[in-house]
Amino acid sequence: MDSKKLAKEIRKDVLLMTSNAGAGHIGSILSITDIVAVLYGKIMNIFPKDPKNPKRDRFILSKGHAGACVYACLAELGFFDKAELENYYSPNGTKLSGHVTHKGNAGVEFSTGSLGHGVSVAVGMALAGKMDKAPYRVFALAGNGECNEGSIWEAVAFASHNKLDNFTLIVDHNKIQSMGDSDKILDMGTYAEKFASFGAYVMEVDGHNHAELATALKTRKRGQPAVVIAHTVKGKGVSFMENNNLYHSACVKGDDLKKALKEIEKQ
Amino acid sequence: MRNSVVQTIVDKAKTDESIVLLTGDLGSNCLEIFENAYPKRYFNCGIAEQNMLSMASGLAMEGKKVFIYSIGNFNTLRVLEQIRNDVSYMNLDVNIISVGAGMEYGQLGFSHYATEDIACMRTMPNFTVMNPATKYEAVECAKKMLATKTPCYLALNKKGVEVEDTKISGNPRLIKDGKGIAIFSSGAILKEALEVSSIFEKSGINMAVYSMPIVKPLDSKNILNILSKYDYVFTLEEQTVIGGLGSALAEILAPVKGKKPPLHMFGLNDEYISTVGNRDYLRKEYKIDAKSIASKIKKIF
Repeated sequence: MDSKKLAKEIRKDVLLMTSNAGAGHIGSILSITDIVAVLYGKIMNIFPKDPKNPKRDRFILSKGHAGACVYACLAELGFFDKAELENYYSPNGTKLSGHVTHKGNAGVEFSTGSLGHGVSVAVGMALAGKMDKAPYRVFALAGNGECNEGSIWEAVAFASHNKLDNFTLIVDHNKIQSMGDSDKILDMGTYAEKFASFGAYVMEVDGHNHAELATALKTRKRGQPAVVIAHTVKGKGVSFMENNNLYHSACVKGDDLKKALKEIEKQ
Repeated sequence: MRNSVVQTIVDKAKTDESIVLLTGDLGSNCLEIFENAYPKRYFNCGIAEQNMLSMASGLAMEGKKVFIYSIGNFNTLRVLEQIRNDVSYMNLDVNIISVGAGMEYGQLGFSHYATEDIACMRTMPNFTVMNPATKYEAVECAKKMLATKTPCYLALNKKGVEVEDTKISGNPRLIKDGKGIAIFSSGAILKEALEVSSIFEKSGINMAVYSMPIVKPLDSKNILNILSKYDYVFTLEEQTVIGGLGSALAEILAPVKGKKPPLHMFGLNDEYISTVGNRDYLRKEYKIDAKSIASKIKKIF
């Protein structure tokens, strides 16, 4: 599917899913939607009907709270039935938990939710790929707030030291985290410089520009892991949600939902 | 016992190419045999245990059989959430080996006592939790890790307790037969358990001594049968008395209706002391040396 069309469908799905559930991290989900759509739509080698195919590229969502985006993307691509999305976050038993889980969900590589784990897991997969001379690439997506976690830096140090050029970390840099503006909570300075100093090949892109994302995500530098700093907008695509941290974990209903869906449809 | 375990893994790695060994920058004079034999399957991950644990899961996801080596607390308590989310929940073939079990690293100080790891690891679903006392037990535990595809935890000492035990099987393992009273221990503190039994022997009481290298999972029925043979049962561990071997046996006994032996648990009480010394010194200070245990038992029956 064309990545732009995929992103649009995901945005509509996740608005309905979170609205139906009355919960979910919609701001964060919309922030990563273009990144996920470009990865699945343009970059990764995927096998929706054979999700464990050893040749597949691997994707781990380290910021597990944005899991609805991955569920919607996988359903749109036919990994599982789209009707299942209605069960997202269901109080009466569901496979689709708020934080992304692999159990029973074809295409989800790994369960996450506690920040700072998924990047290291992805590095382990990349290391295995190198050891086995396997052709697959491994992508991990972390949030900029998540980069407060020390384990992120441990993982990138290891990936650089071991020359894991089959590994790409994408940082969803929307500059907001759970309780507010990142620079006011824990100012991490410039990510590009920091990751470069850890030995990674760093690229900075507009995280909603599909062409820029595609170019960066295709790029591999021999002997170096790649880090793509994707500058994003939390709540992207819905005017009243953009950069509004109320929607870190709120959802929309009624007229607001209609308005949001209408805005997405027009894009 | 430490070297024998690594040798057992090295031997198996000759035919099992999926075996990978990760260390958190510890294991000099021990891991070299693996590193020299299989340099491409050996990774010193630096002093970065969080990454090492999650990375082990990533490797295991891709079909590797992963061994992790570090000192007790650094690859358990420090990374308990990585173990919980990435290894236990995912049920992966990740095998965690700790050295310096219990208070083996006495003089190094409190930070290096592995005295809560067994209790913590016992709460992790899918894990086999092992705390061997002798070299033979340790090698048997290593073979178990090599034979299973599910996560394992193994606490090791540099040297095992010296007992002639190669013909004893099962878990619990009857190290010394006795009647009426029995002491069950796990790990290197078996040495004290045997001494307790010797103290009682002098007054004509034959106390049975069991070693339990496997703390989880346990065959409840078998253990209940064994426990029921005695009038008094004691447990001894170089661990917090909360949540370890004693608790595991208590969990088996508690729901039993009718006649059952009372169970008394010995281990580290819910406190830390402020002096350090070698293992023997610390056992006396914490009152888990043979003499202290024997006098506590005398007051009980």
